[in-house]
Amino acid sequence: MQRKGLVFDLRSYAIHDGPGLRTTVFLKGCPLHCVWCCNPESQTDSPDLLWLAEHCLNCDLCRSVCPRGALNTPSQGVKSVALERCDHCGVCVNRCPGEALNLMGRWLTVEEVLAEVMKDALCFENSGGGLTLSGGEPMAQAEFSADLLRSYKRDEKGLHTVMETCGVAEWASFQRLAEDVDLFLYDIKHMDPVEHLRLTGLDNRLILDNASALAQMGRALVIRLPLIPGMNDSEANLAATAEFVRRLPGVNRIDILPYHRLGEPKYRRLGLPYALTGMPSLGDERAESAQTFLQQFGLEVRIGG
Amino acid sequence: MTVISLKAHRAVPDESASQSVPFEVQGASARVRLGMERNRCTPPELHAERAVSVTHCYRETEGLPLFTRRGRMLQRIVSEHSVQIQQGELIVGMKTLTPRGSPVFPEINCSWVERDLDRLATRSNTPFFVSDRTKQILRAEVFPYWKDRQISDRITAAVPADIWRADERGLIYNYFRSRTIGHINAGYEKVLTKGMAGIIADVEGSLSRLDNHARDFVHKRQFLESVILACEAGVSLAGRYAAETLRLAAAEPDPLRRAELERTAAILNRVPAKPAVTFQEALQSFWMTHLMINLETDGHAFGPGRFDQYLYPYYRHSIDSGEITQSHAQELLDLIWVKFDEITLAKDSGEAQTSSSYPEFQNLNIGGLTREGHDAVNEVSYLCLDALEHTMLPQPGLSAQIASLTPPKFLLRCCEVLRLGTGMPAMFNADSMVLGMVNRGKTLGDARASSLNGCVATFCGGKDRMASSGYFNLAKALELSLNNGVDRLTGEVLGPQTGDPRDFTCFEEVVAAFKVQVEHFVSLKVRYDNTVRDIYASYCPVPFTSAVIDDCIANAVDWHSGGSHYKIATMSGVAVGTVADALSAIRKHVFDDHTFGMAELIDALDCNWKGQEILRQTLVNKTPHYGNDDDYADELAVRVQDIFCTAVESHRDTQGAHYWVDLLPTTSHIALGELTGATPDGRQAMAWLSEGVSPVQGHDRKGPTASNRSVAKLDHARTNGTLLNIKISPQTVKSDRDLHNLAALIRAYFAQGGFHMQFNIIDRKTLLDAMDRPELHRDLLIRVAGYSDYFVLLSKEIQHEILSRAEHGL
Repeated sequence: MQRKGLVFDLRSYAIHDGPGLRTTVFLKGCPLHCVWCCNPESQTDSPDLLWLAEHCLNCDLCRSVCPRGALNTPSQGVKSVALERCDHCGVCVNRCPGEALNLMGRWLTVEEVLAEVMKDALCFENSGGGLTLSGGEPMAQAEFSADLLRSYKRDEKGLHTVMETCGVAEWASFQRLAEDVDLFLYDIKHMDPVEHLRLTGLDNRLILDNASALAQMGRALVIRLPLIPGMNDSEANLAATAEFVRRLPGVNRIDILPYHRLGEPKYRRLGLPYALTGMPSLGDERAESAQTFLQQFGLEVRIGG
Repeated sequence: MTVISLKAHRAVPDESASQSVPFEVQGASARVRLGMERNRCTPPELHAERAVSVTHCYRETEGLPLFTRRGRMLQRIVSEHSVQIQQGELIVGMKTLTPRGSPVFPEINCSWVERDLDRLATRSNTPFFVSDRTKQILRAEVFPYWKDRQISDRITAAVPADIWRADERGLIYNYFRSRTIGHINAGYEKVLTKGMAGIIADVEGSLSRLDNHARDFVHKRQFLESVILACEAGVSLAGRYAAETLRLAAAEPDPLRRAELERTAAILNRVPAKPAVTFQEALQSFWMTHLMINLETDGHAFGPGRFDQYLYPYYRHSIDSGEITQSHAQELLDLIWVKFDEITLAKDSGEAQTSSSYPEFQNLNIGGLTREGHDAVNEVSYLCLDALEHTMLPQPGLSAQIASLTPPKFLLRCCEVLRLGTGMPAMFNADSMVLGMVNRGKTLGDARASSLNGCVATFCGGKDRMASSGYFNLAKALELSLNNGVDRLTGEVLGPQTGDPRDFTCFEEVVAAFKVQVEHFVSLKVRYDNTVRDIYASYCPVPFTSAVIDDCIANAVDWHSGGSHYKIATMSGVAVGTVADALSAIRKHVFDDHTFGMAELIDALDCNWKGQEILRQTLVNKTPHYGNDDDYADELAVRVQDIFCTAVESHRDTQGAHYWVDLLPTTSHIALGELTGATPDGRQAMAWLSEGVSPVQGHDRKGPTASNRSVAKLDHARTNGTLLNIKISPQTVKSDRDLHNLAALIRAYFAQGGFHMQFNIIDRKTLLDAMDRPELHRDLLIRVAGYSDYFVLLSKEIQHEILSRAEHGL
């Protein structure tokens, strides 16, 4: 049987995920749990059933069609799902008239994903774009990612590929697919292992080692730095990041991703706590001063990527 | 009002001719800004002058042949026209005494003016100031004469009741009933190369060849003589402007300005009578011709057509001879842009609602192909883009023709200009246009030399007659097929009885009923259009227009009577998207999935979804929709187009011209929507219909590339034009890299056969509307800080944040 990947979104006309017009495949599941994550629905490695109160018509059709009786009668305006019974079959989602129920994450084969991606082949060809793997963390489904990249490279005669990664995976997994990735957009969130652990749930040892190894292999890397006020934007951390990047052979670009709050409503929808409630988005000025600071190290620095 | 000192910034044209410093775009010159400011600060006003000239002339010429009267009418208009040269102008000629003013065309339709005269200044759409003096003159000298004599009265009398009823109920609409047919791409090139004198010589040649044994000999002679009168009128209009310019020059203290005025006067004494030689002569000759067409009738869409092509030889000549510099040429073009912006026309309040803006569809084309099939982009093409950038004026409407061989540089420059947010240039697929034109009988060379007219219709400049006669409401036809021919809003029987839909046992019966309704009302509309067209042919010859469109002179047949080399008739289909989604909903839920029965659906339509929100939401959210590259629905859009095209293409007009389809709505999808009951796509009664070939608002949810792929499945080359609006957020076109991506999006759509796309940069207004009416904006993708989401799904708080950023971005 063919290997399937858990995909939570497929976005065409992606223009900030690498060069040209791209289709980005978002794979579900991430080993990190960054406090600022704007895609909390992407962190778990199983499908999630999402319920949007503002779309619910209270028709109760979902409960009547559920083959496993997993949906409960809403109490105090909240619909709940008995997770132990729900097998994410999607019957309720297909019936829900108001689109209040959404299933985040579908199991798809490489062929199914590529059939969707290749619909935009003309746009890729005209713009130098192609396929981007993102997440979640594509390396969390390393075998599926490797199969997908290999098929795409083989079938499409080398159209461009990008992987957005947090760098957390065994080196062997990276080694297997590195040749099929034309550009890694590689996150480095903090240089201090203790701080990294505190902010993301893991230390940064694997991340830094893999970055060095990929650079040694001669793969193209752009380092991405999500800039979170008061967490990783100190001069000391910026300087340490810049020094590290400067030592990577062939790598000389950092993209700053300024903190924004667009993820916050999703936490509410998922019923998860948001650690940064009330924190304003990072202002342009702060992003620009970080850019100027990093440029002193002789690096090319872009805001937003 | 900002006052700009002209003297301080005066460009010095002649002295700079010898300088070899490369020209850099600095924006509009002082005199261009002065003209823009003048247009902005002058309220559009209604003027009685033309109406008085026309009324007097018609009174005095009663009993004379109609052609003679029409020729004399033009001469009278010109001789009594208030000639005025505005401060700083180099290219002169005004339609009315004030810029952006409108004359009255009483011979066509003045009953609406009489009816609306006191509220014209205060109506919400396109108000026009009317002075007490103007009101008094119109009431005393104009209105009384025209009762039962106007074209509109003759149309009202000639069109039978069943057609009027279908019109009033929103099935069909004809826009010639209140304005002339219009849609003129004059042969400006002919005027520039031959001059009016050359055209008069052609007429004389044609006169000498007339067969005096033929039955229509006298008729033809009278027509040709009226063409001479019309050409002479054009020459004397220029002469009157020349005299006024000289008068001003004599009184002008500033020697530089005096020299300018004298040069302009000298030019006006040569053109349009004689062939143009220099760039400024060509522009002045063009403008006088354009003015004459604007004074002859009140039709809309008088388009300059392939402007960069016919002006280029004169530009080349003036630059190569050192007569002007590129910066001077640019200023002249910027000034022409200001002149285009001076043109408006007061419309019947009813029509003002379906087309609610001042711009008059003066479609100016750049780029595309030469007659031989080579790249036609030249320096003037780029200067036109610069003119738009300098002036940011809504007129002329700028259209860029893009062929597969068009250089990337030109496409990228177009993208750069369109990100300024005017929605222009609109982008057109020249290859698809050529294919369609050849299919409609044009020679290959003529097809390549064609242009866009109006908003997106194709026209072979200088030798065609193409005019969309107005709209056909496909959604209303579907309504009738789902109600046994009965109008759901009024309960009247309008169409054939195609059976009680509750008895339909398969999807094909629905389609069959729809087909019958479409065929019935297409026939009705053809009768409507042909009647109206015949009335113009019988009562409204246009000798000046005939002078500048081939082969009216050679055939000795007026343009309104079908004298042109090519002619087609077209009909605009509205709501392809709404009907496709409605059919998809029926097929999916009634016949495939049996979610509910036909009776249940029809009941819900009958009561406009009252108490049926769950059913309605199911239709909206659980139906495959056109616009998501899903064949289930897209195939139905293709079928709807085919049914409509097949019905339309079987007809001809009374001049032997074939009917063709175009799919453009202007803003009729709003007005016609208000007359259409609930539709099975979940649309409420009286809500908007889908627009152009665009998917239903908010039903395309897979991004622009998927939406474009769906739209490209329609057969664009089979139509005389399709219209696709795309919204983009300012953040997606910020950098140069973004421009390349936008260009790639356009190239991909065109490679798939798409015909036209125009881009609206999402502004504050759109975002506010999306917050108010999220159901219409579900497709609004917003990209901020590397993350994108559908705007309407974001919380109010985040929406406000994006709103404040959007203001910044613009």
